[in-house]
Amino acid sequence: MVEREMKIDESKCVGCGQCVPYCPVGAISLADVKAIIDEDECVECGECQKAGVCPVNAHVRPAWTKPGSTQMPEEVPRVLRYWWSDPQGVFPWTGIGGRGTQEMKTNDVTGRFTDDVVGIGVEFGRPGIGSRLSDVEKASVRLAALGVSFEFDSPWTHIIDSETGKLKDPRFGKERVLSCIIECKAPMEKIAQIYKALMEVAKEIDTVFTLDIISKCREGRILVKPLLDEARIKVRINGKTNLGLGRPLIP
Amino acid sequence: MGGGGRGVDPSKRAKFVEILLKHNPVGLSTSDLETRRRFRYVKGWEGSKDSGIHKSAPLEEIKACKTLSGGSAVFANFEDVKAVIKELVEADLGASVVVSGIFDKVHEALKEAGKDPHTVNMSAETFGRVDLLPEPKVLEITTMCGHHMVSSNLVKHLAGEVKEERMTAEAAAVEMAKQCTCNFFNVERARKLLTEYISFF
Repeated sequence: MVEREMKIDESKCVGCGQCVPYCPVGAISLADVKAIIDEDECVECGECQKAGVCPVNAHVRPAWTKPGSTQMPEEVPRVLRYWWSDPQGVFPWTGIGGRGTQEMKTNDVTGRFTDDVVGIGVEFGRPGIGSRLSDVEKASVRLAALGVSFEFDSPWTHIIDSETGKLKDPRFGKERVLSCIIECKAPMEKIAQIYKALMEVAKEIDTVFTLDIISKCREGRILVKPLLDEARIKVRINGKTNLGLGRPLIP
Repeated sequence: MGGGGRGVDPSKRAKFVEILLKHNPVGLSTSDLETRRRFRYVKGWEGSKDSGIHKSAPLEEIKACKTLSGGSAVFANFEDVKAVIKELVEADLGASVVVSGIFDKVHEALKEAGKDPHTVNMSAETFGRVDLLPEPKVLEITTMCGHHMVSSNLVKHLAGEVKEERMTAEAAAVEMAKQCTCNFFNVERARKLLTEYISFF
């Protein structure tokens, strides 16, 4: 039998419940001394199987089509859950693993974010709540209206119309993922507008999101910081720093 | 801390990991360029605790590999991070290096090494249905895995096991770290946070 969703083989399950706490979205429960997966809540991350705690190997994972092969129509849209939720899943159109790109991690080499540009990452469903893609779309539409530039290599960009931010296929909206990042950039002076628009979206969604703000530094100063202060946008004291040790592709 | 990847000369990629290995990492992830085997080291994770897809690699085995290909490491002590930054600046490998940590401290360490930061990625607050989030103490642990493969229910379950003395806090922290396949979970910090958490109930 070819499974199209993560399943627990009822004939094997001994109801020990060991896999239950491993599910990142709490989609596994015990019913009638058997573990069952709520298929609507499951995000296809495969964590329950990967943990290897089942004493009888009852977890059956779909054999998702490998990148480069022709996608079987019956896998779509369910396979979107796997692409966004399993860090080892490889997004077929970019060949990149995971839900996002290298963003600022290689900015010293690529020069993707320049002095006058701010990078934005809107991470839906994180931390640990999960998100329907329809909620991500709400932010995507607002950002598109503000004229942001969606990152080409980001998986999200491949399933939307970049002009409107809307999903190319309305069926995708009901799919649920562990997290999904919208990656884009905009002129730095737009940061307050972007923040305001996302605060409006926050009132309309049934999940959480975190906002990443990427900025270049000069002589130890974070270039976007004065604009964040002016707009009263608070950021955490910790985050990622690219040390600038890479060789630029264009010197 | 991660870096030393594609586009960089293989010998320099190996040098990058050598530097990480010298400064007491509590977690390290790399791979062998020749065999493509991926190594995951987490302090306290021994082969007897391997399960499912999660396989541990002892530091000795990683050190013995001559064709390491970039990677990442986690440190429990900022003095070690400072020493790594200093050595990486001096080594001038030409590879992008990213450090996750408190900006002021990382930037100060970088300045001491004679460099300014290039780009930062800052996080604003969490927005939307924050009422759905687990309690802050649990969240402090789960968010150490950026992909959130360490579930809040697992943290609560293992906290119960430690409280009932069926497991040590060290073993519970390792079990959590195993689920973070990218290997950025700080097992030492998890042990401390878990010990604090169980003191509340």
